[in-house]
Amino acid sequence: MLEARLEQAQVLKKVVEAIKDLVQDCNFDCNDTGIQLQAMDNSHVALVSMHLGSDGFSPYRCDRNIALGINLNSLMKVLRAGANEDLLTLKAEDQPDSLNLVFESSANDRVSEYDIKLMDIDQEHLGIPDTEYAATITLPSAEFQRICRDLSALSESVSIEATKDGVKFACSGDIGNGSVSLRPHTNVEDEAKSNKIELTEPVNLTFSLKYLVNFCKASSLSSTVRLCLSNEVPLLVEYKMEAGYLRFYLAPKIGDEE
Amino acid sequence: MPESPAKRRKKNDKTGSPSKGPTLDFFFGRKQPVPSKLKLVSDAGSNEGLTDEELARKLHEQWAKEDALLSCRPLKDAETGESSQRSVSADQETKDREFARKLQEDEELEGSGSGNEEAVSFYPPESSTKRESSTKRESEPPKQPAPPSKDAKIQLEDKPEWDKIIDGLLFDMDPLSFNPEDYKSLVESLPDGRLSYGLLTRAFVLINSTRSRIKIVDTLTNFLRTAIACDPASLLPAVWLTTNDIGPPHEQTELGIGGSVISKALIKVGGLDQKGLRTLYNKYGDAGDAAFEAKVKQRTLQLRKPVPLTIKDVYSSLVKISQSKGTGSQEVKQRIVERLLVQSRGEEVRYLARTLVQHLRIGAVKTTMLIALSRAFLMTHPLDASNPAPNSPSTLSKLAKEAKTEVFSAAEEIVKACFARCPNYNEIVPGLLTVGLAGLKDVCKLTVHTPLKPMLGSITRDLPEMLGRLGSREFTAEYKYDGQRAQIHCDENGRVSIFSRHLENMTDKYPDLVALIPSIRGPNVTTFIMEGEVVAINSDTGDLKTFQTLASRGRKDVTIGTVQVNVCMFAFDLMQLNGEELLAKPFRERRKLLREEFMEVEKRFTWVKSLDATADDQDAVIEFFKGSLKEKCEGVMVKLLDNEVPPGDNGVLETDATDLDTLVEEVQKKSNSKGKAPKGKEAKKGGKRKPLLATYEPDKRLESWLKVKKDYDASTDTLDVIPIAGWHGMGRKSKWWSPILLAVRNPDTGSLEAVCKCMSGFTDAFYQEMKEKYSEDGENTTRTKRSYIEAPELHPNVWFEPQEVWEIVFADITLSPNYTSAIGLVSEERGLSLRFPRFLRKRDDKSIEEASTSEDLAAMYRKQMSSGKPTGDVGGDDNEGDFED
Repeated sequence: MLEARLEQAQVLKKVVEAIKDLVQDCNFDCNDTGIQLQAMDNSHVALVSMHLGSDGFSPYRCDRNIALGINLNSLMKVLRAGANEDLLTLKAEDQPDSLNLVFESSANDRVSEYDIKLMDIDQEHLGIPDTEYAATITLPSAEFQRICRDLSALSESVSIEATKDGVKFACSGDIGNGSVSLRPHTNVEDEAKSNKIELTEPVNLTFSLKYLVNFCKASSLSSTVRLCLSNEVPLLVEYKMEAGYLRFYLAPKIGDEE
Repeated sequence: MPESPAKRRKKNDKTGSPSKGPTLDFFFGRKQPVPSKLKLVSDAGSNEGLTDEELARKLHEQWAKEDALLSCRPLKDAETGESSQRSVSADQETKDREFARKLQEDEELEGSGSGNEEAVSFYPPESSTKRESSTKRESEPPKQPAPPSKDAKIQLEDKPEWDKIIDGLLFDMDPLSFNPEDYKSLVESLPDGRLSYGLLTRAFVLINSTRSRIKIVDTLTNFLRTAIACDPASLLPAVWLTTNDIGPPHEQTELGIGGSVISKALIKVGGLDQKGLRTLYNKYGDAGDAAFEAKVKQRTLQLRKPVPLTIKDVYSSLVKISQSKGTGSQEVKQRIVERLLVQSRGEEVRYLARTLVQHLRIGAVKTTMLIALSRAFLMTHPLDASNPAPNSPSTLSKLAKEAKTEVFSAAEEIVKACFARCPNYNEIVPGLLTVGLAGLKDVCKLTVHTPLKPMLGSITRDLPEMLGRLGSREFTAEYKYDGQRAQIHCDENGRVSIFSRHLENMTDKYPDLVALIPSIRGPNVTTFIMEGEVVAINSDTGDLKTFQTLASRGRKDVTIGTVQVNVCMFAFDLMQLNGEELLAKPFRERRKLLREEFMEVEKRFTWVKSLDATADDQDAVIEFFKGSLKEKCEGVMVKLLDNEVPPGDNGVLETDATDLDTLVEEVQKKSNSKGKAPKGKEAKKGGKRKPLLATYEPDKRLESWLKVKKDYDASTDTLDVIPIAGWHGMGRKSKWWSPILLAVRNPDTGSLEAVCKCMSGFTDAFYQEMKEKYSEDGENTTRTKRSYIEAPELHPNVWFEPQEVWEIVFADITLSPNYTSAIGLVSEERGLSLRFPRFLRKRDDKSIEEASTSEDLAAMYRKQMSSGKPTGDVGGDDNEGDFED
């Protein structure tokens, strides 16, 4: 039996909105620590990993491990039916055929209830250890979104070069080239507006902007985003939430240096 | 689809056993703890339970074997670059080793820690090794693959061992020294023991790297033999994939995926955008090359060892694509395409994309496949087959050269003849697998609703020559109508199928003919296969109309009510009646049955107009021929009536056509002759040159049917036109401009009016010259159309600066809704265009002011119309009856 109540329906809404273009169907794995999701996109270039901790819900109850196989487009349809500020309660049996969603609006005592049919998705749940990255960059998520959007107008791929001086996003395309460089910078008034770079060795990797732009849809989840890079390892793009995270992993491209 | 309400099992591409798990679904480790280093290594290195060491040994053996086989042959394929992928720079090696060590450390750490969460690592993504090796290609001498050192294992888990072996496969060696059994262990080591798509791709690569027909046939033969010996179940899919089809033409199995599905999938898989893909495509001019570039540029995430695509898998995916219809099918197709592209690696991507766009470009046409099949089955047979033992390569290699050629060609003839009767690999391949070459003819019979390849006519230029060739034998001359050749099949239930001369099912196109069949069937007729010409006709006057009129009929979903253009079927042959195959009967007998058992229906169904004669009746025949031209026919077909040659015949019509039984005998005999070449030779030559028969020989162009057409060379007009624009060529011509847009001059307005696209008659050298002259962004080309050029609705890639005059020939002039040249001179709405234009020569002596005018064109059109019949036949091309103008 799963019963989990979110104070604000928009948390789930934003998460699903951010990943539904990458992944069509996936399992929401529920256990006593919370709800997690892990899925790779069709082309096996990117992986999404989400965790919503139990303390993000009140109350949260999950007696047994339950996998909810959901089509994200269907889920999105239902989530759109609720308002951002609604209380959202998720309910499912131990061997569920469907997921029950109840939206309660405190403002006008409106209660709406939906059931989504579930499907069996043959997916294993995997653990991901913390990896030591050569470079970890924290920057405002709006900034990252803007960089990706601006550069994607010029090219399909971006090189991210982290050195001790800063991080440089550079691209070149048919119409010309462009780059954005950020230097470490601390905003004393608003911590979230700082750029932080932790570096053990310089890295330079190239990624598909299409995916990055896609990841940026999660910008509304968090005011900052963390980029972690190492050679020969996928890029990690992390958005922290109040009680959990949404992480994207992206395989690099072969650079154009050949 | 995804919203389907039912709770259902989502199919993963799992094959049951965990060790052969899904390819790429996760790049993170599985949940179970991995207890030891060894486990990790074996997990990555092989999935048939071998440790790395075992595998390395096996590989070593394998290569040693190849070495032995090849010691005297230079390694051709090393230059293709594939083999050089085996070499990995030391630098990369160290890096990977370090990486591997790290993996294991992580693993142990995690394993001892939580116990249920496995260490995770990102394997070095695909093609990292390729990149390294490509830079090394130059310096690396092409030599035998070095057995990999034990340590080097892990770095390559993204390129599995079998891939490396496959890259070194020598399918292009002489089939006589090729032993498919050598590859048994390799195939067995593949998942499920199925031939991998990589193996087929390897054959494609080899085929593509040579222009020698012999090499191509050898390669294909060796590949097919490997399939026969190691995995017979993959043979049929492999044959279809090689012929770039899913099924026979009459079953209308089309992929039905446009370029957009493929490019969308590529954009997804390759991580690039529309523009990037377009750039790639323009650069290479080939979907396969673009896909290859796109995919290789984007690494993918994978933890598990990828499971190779199998031939069966690829083929069944294609079948699935072709079968998905209706709403949402595009999405389904797209998914399948994506999955295939994701699973494919390296060269596979290239050929997969080419397969998807239905343009494989390996130059292995139908004949090559049939030859390769015949040779493969001559030398190899499936393990459990009951058919007689084939000729072992060693036996064959003992035969003298001529004897060998004879055995080969006899086998070839069997397969070709069977294929002509029953042009469907779905029948031929299983037949070969179960009964072998000898029994094939009993399996592949003429079948109602399966079209046979039509018999073809040889071309003669004029009547006297034709009469001379016939000697004293009786023949019939038939009108050759300007329509569409059709095969009508009817079974005992009255179900009718109609096939074109290219064996496409066009039953839906002629519902009026289908409705007619019951009324032409005589009382004794149950089943039949007949052949004739469908001609457009004026149903009031009975006048014949032109091919263009017929071509204007709808092609699909035609209902009787909507038929605008009435047709008449002029039957001329009967191949099967009441279950009895008539092919071997002389034409006189077949025609008699046709005319006795079927009934004419006025203006709907009748016999071709014919005249029985001998060479003595020259005047009558000439009159008949003239009459045919008056009736807007293309000429006449002259056909032998009888098999028997009248005594004292001095004709020269002979053939080496032999019947199947003799061929089978020949093959058998050869296999028993055990190298006694001279004897085999006698057996073959024993008086085979016999007079030409009046039988129906599917797919053969014999002189028992002679096509007599109005002479083409002497009387044809040519046009002097101006090249004004070009498109990027496709495939082989991708480096050049092809087709070229040609125009005539309109002296009244001073404009140049586009008249047709031309893509034949050019030599490669000329293409090259043209490309240099009209180089992209050069001074002789522009991106935008000049205002004085009239070419509505045409969007060439580049416009030429008009400056030269070319002389072209063409089949005839047609009214065209697309081209506007000479508009208003002949028709108010329609311009004129040319059918089958062909480049003759450059007219350096003419300036563009002297090029033909639209009035010249109109005059030619009027002359053509008044002369009754356009002069057809460009350079002997057998194009009539085609709608693919």
